[in-house]
Amino acid sequence: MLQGLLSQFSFVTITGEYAVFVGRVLLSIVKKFPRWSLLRDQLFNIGVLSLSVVALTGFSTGLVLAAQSYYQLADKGLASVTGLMVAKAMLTELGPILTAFMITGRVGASMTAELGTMVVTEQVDAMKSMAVDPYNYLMGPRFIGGFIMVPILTIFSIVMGVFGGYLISVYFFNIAPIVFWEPIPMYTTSFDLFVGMTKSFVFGVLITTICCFKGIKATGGAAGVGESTTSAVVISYVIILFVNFLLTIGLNSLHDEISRFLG
Amino acid sequence: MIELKNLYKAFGSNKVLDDLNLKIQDNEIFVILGKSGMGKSVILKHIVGLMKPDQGDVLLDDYHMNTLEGIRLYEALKNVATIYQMGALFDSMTVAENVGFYLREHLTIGGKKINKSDIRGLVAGALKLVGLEGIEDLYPSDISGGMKKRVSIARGSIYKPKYICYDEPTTGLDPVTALAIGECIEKQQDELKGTTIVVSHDIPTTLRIADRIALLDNGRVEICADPLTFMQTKHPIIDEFNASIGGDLSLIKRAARRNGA
Repeated sequence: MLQGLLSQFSFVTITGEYAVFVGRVLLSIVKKFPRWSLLRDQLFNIGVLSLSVVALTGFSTGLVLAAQSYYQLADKGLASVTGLMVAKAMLTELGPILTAFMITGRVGASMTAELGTMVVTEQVDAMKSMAVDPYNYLMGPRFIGGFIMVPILTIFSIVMGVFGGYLISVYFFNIAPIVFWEPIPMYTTSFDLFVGMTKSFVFGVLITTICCFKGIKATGGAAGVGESTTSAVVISYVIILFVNFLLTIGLNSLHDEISRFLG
Repeated sequence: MIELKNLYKAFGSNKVLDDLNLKIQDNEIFVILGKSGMGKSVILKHIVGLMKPDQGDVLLDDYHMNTLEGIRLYEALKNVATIYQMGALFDSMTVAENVGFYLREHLTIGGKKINKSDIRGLVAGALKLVGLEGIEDLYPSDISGGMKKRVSIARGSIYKPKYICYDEPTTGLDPVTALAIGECIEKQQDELKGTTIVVSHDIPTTLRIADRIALLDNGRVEICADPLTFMQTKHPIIDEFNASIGGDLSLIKRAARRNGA
């Protein structure tokens, strides 16, 4: 009982600390926008260096999605909706989620490890001692980089997914290109794009803030940095999945309410 | 002047500082001596405002470091440099980028504006002062522990702060390198004419460079005196220190020179 209470207290404390951390990062950005050279490094690291892995993930998911859709739907005479299935799924769910997972594994983990190492080797203290705010110098550019690059990578992943779906549908399952493309603009709405982009912005913020937070809180040398990195990745994955569910329900409910209100 | 008044600090049930009082005058090398785990580095972190006391006041000139946060803390820290035990050099930057870090970020030295184009020359000068030339483009992983500490001293002194705090500057170094670091600390003090605070448990270096020494024990300053008076004081820890150097008081250099002059 006491242990349960303590763990709940600890959860509340950590959540509070995380909220304060995010607030301090935002405040530091508002007070002084990070230097372009620092931001450019992060945009390159998060965006350009992740392109290949995001492209490959999106492309292979598009292939599998199209193949599964075709096998499930062809005998019911619904093979023509394969393209729509791929586009809808990539746009609203798989594009944002898979990109977020890839960025967490490739960029988030290295953010935690890098910041954690800087903390345990007193590099962050040294920075503060030289009157440089680590929230602005270290966390600010990473936060902005994630906020900008995750949505761009998500679009790239979606495009690659649909392209993969197109290739296998047309060249392997012999679906006519017009049949693949035709239903997509008819049944894919701007709301679907809005959902996908909203998710990717939120995931970008979550990945960078959770991974930086875990890095800055690292203690206990190399082992502590390793533990922080593992927990940053695990926590990011769990929270991304949970927030994805909340956003799907929340945004669709909001959309329904607005549609009903507008008649 | 730095003044610590009635300082208390505990980590859980472990009381580290217990009603500690200390006054450090301007233009002196002040060494805080004590055994490992006595809270010497904790005092340093309080002086630079990176740790807040449970009770008490930390005065650095007119700044109350125990209450300062954010921009006001960073403003106060422009007068202070801290040299960390392991150097704390930024791994991802070259030696030159490390030494010029403060200048790049603030573009000032002692409150005076400088140009970006001046930084390269100033970095070379700072490295020359600590006896390191031609290593500007190396990374911290390419240089030895002693060199890292000297680069760290160059990084701290380049912006001519009023106070330089050294956290165990000679720990883990061989006696020859420790001697070189000691000389480096004295040279910086004579050059900058500010105030140097060193925490250490290295007796030979302490006796060589100190103007005054404070002994930290049980969370308080037990003795604070010039090196000769300090070593002649009867105290179990000082007896141990005396035994470790075979009672050789000829190691006292700086204070002896000053008294001689």
